[in-house]
Amino acid sequence: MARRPGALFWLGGGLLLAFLAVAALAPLLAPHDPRLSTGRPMAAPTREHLLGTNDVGQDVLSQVIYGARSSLIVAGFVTAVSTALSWLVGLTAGFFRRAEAPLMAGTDLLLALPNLPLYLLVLTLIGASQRNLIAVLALLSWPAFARIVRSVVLQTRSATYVEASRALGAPDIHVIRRHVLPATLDVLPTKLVLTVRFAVFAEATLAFLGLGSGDAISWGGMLNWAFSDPLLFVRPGWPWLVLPPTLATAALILATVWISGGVAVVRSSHTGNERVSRMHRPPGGGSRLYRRTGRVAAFAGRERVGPARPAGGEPIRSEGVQVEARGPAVEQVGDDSAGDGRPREPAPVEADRHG
Amino acid sequence: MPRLTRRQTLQGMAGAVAALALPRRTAALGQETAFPVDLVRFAWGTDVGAPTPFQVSPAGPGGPVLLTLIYDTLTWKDAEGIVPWLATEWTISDDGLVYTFRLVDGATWHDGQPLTAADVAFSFDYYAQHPYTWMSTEVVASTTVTDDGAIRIALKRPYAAFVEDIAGVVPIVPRHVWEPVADPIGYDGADRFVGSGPFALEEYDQTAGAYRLLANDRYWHGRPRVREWRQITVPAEARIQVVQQGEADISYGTDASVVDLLAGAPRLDVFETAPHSIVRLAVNTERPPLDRKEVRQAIAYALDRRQIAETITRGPAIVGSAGVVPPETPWHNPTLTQYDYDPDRARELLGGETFTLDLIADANVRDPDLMAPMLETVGITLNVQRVDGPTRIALLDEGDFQLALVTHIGVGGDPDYLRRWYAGEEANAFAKGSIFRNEEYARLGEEQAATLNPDARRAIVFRMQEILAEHLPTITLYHRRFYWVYDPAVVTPIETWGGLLNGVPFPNNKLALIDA
Amino acid sequence: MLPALVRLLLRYLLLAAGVVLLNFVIPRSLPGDPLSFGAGEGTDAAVPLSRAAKDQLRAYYRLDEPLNRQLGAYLGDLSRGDLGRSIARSAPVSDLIRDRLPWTLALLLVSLLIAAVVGTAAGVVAGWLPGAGRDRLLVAIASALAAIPEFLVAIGLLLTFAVGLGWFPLFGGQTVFAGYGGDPAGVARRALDVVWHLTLPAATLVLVGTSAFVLLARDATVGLRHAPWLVVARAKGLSERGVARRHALPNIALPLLTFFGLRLGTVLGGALVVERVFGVPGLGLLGYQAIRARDYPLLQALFLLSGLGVLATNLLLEIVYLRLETRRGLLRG
Repeated sequence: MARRPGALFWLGGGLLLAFLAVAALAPLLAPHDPRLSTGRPMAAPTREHLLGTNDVGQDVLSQVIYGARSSLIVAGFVTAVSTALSWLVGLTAGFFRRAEAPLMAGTDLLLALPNLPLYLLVLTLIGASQRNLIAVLALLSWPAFARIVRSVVLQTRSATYVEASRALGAPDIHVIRRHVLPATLDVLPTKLVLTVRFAVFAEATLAFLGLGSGDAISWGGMLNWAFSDPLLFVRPGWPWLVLPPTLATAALILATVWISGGVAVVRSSHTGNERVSRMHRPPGGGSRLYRRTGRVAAFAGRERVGPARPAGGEPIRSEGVQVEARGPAVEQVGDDSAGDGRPREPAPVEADRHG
Repeated sequence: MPRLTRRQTLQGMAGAVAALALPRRTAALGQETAFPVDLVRFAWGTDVGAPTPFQVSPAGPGGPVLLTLIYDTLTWKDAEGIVPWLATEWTISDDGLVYTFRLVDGATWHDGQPLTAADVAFSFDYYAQHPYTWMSTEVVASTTVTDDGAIRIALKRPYAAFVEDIAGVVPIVPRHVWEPVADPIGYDGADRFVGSGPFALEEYDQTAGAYRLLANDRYWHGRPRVREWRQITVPAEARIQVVQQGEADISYGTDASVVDLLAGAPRLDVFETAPHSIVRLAVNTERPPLDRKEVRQAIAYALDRRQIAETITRGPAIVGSAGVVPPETPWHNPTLTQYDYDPDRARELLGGETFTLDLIADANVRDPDLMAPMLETVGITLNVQRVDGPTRIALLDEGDFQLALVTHIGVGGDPDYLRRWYAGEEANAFAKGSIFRNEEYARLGEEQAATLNPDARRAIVFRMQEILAEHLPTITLYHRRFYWVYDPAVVTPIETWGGLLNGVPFPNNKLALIDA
Repeated sequence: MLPALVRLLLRYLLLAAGVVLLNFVIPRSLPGDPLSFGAGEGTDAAVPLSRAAKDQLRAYYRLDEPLNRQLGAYLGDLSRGDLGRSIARSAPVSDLIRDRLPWTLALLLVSLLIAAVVGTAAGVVAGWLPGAGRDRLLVAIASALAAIPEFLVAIGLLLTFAVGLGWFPLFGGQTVFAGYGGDPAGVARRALDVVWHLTLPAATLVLVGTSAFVLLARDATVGLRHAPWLVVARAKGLSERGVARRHALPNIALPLLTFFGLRLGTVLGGALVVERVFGVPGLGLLGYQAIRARDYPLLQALFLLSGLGVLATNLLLEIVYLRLETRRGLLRG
C-alpha cells in the first residue's frame, strides 16, 4: 500500500513554488530597485518601505524579493553540480575497481582539508563573485556523498541479482542503469536536501565572515552588510535587517527538508513493491513482506542471498521466508558512509561542511 | 541606566577574590603611594604582537601607540605642536643635514640603568640594520655622540619631516639589551620589553591579546597618574558594549551614530577626533580612459560625496578635499576649488562618451553600492570587484587596476606622504600603483621635503594640493572621524596636533597620563 | 587482513604526504603576501615602510627565495618538528598553537560529546515509535534547529544572555589578568571562570550539532525497528527496552560512530564562527586571521594539523571497518 506524503510535503512544495515564483517575478513584485538608495538609512517600516531600509537606504523588502533569485540560483547550481559530481565519482569508483583507488584517494584528500578555511582560501584566491562562489561550494561539497554513493554501489553490485545479471551477460552499462543507479537513488533526496542546506548556509556564513559575493543581491549578502556594522545590535531597528533574510533562508531549507521527506515516504512505500515484483517471486504463495523505511526485505526462496547480514545475529530462516537485508541496512561495508542513505529526514553528513 | 547586572556582581566577587589572591606588587617600580586613577582598560580590536619595536604588529596603529607608553622618543607632540621629550632642545645645521639633540638628564630605563646619548645613537644605528616597521629611518646617514654628550644625527639629504615623523616616532631602545642581539625579531629574552616610558609591561597574554602595564614610578618626565593600563582585545561587535557595561574604559567606533546611541549614558562621553581618516579612489592614471584629466574630473563631479559620507558615517559629512589633506588638520589648504556635486558638468566633461570601469574594493565597504548608481547616471558603469586586504594591496602594487577604493589614516600629520605616494620609491601599501607623472608636482615634492622653513614649506605644500585638486590622480571621497567612547572619570583624551605619531587619531597621548 | 591493512596504511601515508605538500602550495598561491602591511582587520593604517626595509623583511622570512628552496626549508624544519615563526604575530607557531589548542579541544570536544549523547538518545527515543507524538515533536525541533545557520544561533545567544540579561560575559575564554593562584582554590576559581565564559559558545555548538545526531539516530532506529531479528527478539519475550539495548543500539552504533568520527576529525579546524562571535581564542580564529594576514608559516601548520587530524580519524575508522569486514568474511580479494 502506498503511503501518502504528509501535509508537510505539500507545505514544502508550496513554499518552494512560492519562492520560485517570487524569484521569477521579482521585477514585478519588488516595490523599489534594490540597488538604489530610495529611503533614509536604517528606517523603520513604513508604507513606502514595508520592511524598512537597510544601512544605505535600500529597501529591505525589495532585497528579499530579488535575493530569492540569487539564493535559488546558488542553491540550485551548487546542488546540481555537486550531486552530479558525487554520483559520477561514486558510481565510477564503486563499479570500476581500477578507478577506485585514485578516485577515492582524491576524495579523501579533499575531505582531509579543513573546511571553512579552505573555502576562505579559495574564494580569496579567485575572488568572491557569485559564479566563483557556486564553483567553490560545488567543487568542495561533493566528496562526502561520493563516498556514500560508492558504498551503495558496492553493496548493490554484490547483490545476487546483480551478479546473476552480469553472469547472464548483461553489459556493465545495463547493470548500472537498471540496478545500481536506482539503488543509489535512495540517497538522492538526502543529498539534495543536505546540499541545498549547505549551499545556503555556506553563503550566509561566508557573508557573515566578510567574504560574501558582493555583486549580486542575496540573502547572505544582506546578512553580510548587516553584520559588517559593529554597532548593529545597538541600533533599535536591527531585527528588520537580520530577520527577513534569516527567515527566508530558514523557510527555503525547511521547504527542501519537507519535500524530500515526503518524497522519501512515497518512494519507500512504492519501490519496495516494485522491486519485489520486478525480481523474485516467492516459490510458495503467501509471502509476507517486511518493509522497512527505505529498504525492502525481498523474498528469494530458501537460499540465503545478499551479502548483508544483520550485525550480531543470524539471518532468520524459516519456511518460505527468507529475509534478505538488501541495500544498506545496518552495517557499513568498509566505508565511512554515515547515515547509509536516508531517504527520510536528512542525515547531515555534510553538516560539518560549513564548520 | 546602569544596573548592577548579575555579571557585574559575579565579576565583582571574582575581582574581590582575585585581588586577595594576587601577590602584592613588588617595589621594583616603587608603587607604594596611591595614584589618582587606579586602572584604565583600553579595548582594541586585535592583538598587536609583542610590544617591542621589532615584534609589534604594523598591521594597524594599535601596536605603535601601545609602544609609546613603554618607550620614549626624542620629540613628542601635544595639542599645539611639537614639544621636547627625551631631547630637551635641538639645533639644525644651515644645510639641514645635521641635527644636534641635547638629551634630558636623569632619564632611566625600567631596569634602573641610565638612558644616555649612547643609547640614542645605538638605536638609530640598530634601526639601520633592523628597521622599525612603522617608520622608515632610511634618510639617516649616521649618528654620533659628541664630546659634550649631545647626539648628532646626520641625514643623507635635508628632510623637513625629520623632527615630527622620525624623531617623534622612532622608539629609543636600550643598548645594553639589544646590542648583543643579532636577530631582534626572533628574540625571546625577558629583557626585551625594557623601555624608558611611563609604563612598563608587566604581563602579556598572547592568546587573549591582552596587555598589562604598570606605572613606572620613577618616570623621568613626571609621575604617572594611572597605576595600571590595560589593553584588551574585544571583537568588533562587542566593543562599544564593553565600555557601556563597564568592562572597559575606552574604545572606539567609526561612525557618528555612536554619539546618538550614547547620548543617554550618564557615565560616558564621546570624543570626536579630527578627520584624520580618508576614503578615496586611487586612480591608475596610465590606463585609458583614466589617463584623461577630464574623465577623472567627471567622476568627481558625478559623485554626490556629501550624500555618500552622510549615509556611511551616519553623521555630518566631511566631504573630501580634492587636495587630499583633510580640513581641521594643520596642513590643509582651504582655498582650493572643490568638485561640488554636479552631474550635468560631469556629462559635459565626458562629452557623451560611456565607459565601464573596474573598481577594486574591500568586501565590507559600502561606498561602491552608493557610487555605482551615481556614476551610472552620467554614463559610467562601475564593475565592482570585492577582494580582501592583501589581494587589494597586491593588485595596487602591480598596478593591475583602474580604480581602487582605499581607506586609511595618516593624512593629518606631516604632509611628506604627498610626495612619497607618487615618488614611486617607497614600498608603502598605498604608494605603489599611484602613478602620477607631473613634473611640477615631483619637483615641488622634493622641494618641500628639504624646506625646513615652516612658512616656505607651507606654501609649497599648498601648491601641491592645488595640483592634486586640478589633476585628481586620486579622488578623495570624504574624511572620517574616530569616535572614542570613554569614561571621563578615568580617561582624559587629548587631540594631538596632527594626530598622535604620524597622524594616528588616538586620544591617549601619554601627556594626559602623567603629572608633567 | 594484514595485506589489506598494509595497503590501507600506505594509502594514508600517501595522503598525508599530499596534505603536507598542499599545505605549502595553497597559502602561497593566494594573491598578496605576508608583508602586505596596513591591511589589519578593521583598522585603517598607512604604513610608510621603505623599500629597503621591506626587502630586508622579505629576506628574513625567506620569501624572496625560489619556491623549491622555500619548500626544502619547510620540509626540513618540519622533519625537525620546527613549525616556524608566525610573521604576523612574531611568535613561534608551535607556541601559538599550543596555547590555543586547549580552548578548541575543550570547547569542541565537550560540545561534540554532549551533542552526540543527547542527540542519539533523543533520536532513538523518537525513532522507536515513528509517527508518534514525541517523534514528530523531536523531529520538528531538530529540523527547525537545523534550518538556522550557526552564526545566528551564536548571535542570538550572545544578545539574549550576555548583552540582554547579562548572565554571561560578552567575550573571551576567561577573565584576563584575573590572577588566580596555582593553589587548588585558585585552580577551581579559574575553572569556574572558564566554564562561565565557554557556556554560551558551547551551547551554540550543542544546539547546532545535536540535530544532526537526532535525525541520524532516529533514521537508523526507524530502519531497525522491523528488522527480522528484532521480531524474533520480541517473540522471545524481550522487553522493548531490552530489545533496544541489546539489539538495536549496537546496530545503529556504527553509522553514528562514523558520523562522530567525521566530526571529531574536523575538531582541529576549530569552530570559527563561534570563536569569532564570542572571542574565544581557539584555532579557528587563529586560522581565519592567518588567512587574512597571509601568514604562511601559521597557515601551513594549522592546515597540517587539521588535515592530519582528519586523516588520522578516517584511518582509524577504516581500520575498524576492515576488522568488521574480515570478521564477516566479506573481504574481497
